[in-house]
Amino acid sequence: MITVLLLIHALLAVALLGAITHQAFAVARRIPASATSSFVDRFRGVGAAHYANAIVALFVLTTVLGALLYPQYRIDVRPTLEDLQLRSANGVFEIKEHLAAIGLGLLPAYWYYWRQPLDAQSAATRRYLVWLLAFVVWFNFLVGHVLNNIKGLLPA
Amino acid sequence: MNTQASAFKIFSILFGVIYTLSFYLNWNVFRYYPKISQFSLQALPAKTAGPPINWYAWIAIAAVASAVIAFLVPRTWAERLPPGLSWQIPALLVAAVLIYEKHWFF
Repeated sequence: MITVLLLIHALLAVALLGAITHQAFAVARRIPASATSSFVDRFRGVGAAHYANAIVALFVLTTVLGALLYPQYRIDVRPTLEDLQLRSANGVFEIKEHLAAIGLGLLPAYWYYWRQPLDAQSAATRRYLVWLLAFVVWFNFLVGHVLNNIKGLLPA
Repeated sequence: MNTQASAFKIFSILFGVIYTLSFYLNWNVFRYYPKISQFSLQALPAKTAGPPINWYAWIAIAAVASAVIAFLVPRTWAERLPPGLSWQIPALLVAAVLIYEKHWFF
């Protein structure tokens, strides 16, 4: 059961990562319609506002699943990391849980500023909210991925 | 800006602040003991109950306190807050967390 939850958690995180990265690139600068020739331009050229609801839902679902998996981490994984004296691994997990919480708290403001029709005066606020959330999502994704595979990453 | 916007903005600003204070000051209104699958209002002996999870309590404190304050703050006060605070304060909190937790690495 835990393995299934962990896989769903990871798959939701991948979807969230894709959505927030598209949005983060899309708000970076305005792309003229004619300039969508390169891969990067097409990647940036998405309708950023259309991702907002999905990002909120994915963030909440991923965090809830993470919260459900946390007891198993506390009982099994953390003591193992402590036995192996992997303080850094425990440290990045501590940061991950704090960033997840701060990200969760950001969502109401994020959702409000991305509501249609978009307020042109709030463009900067929207941009920085997305970038902050993208930082949280990327950090937590990478930490989760490394911790999940840490036994394989360690030298035998 | 309408009342809903003000409330969302205040909630998002306060949530991170209250969460950070909760973990920094270790405010635990309850704890969850995964070894015995039990929530407890009091600290239980580690020998029998195992290590607690405090994260749930910190999130619960932040969510409830932020929601109550966001609901109670008069709209005129809330509207004076610049929209940028919605991301500036959480960004500072992220930086504070990274600085606070650096002891794990050095």
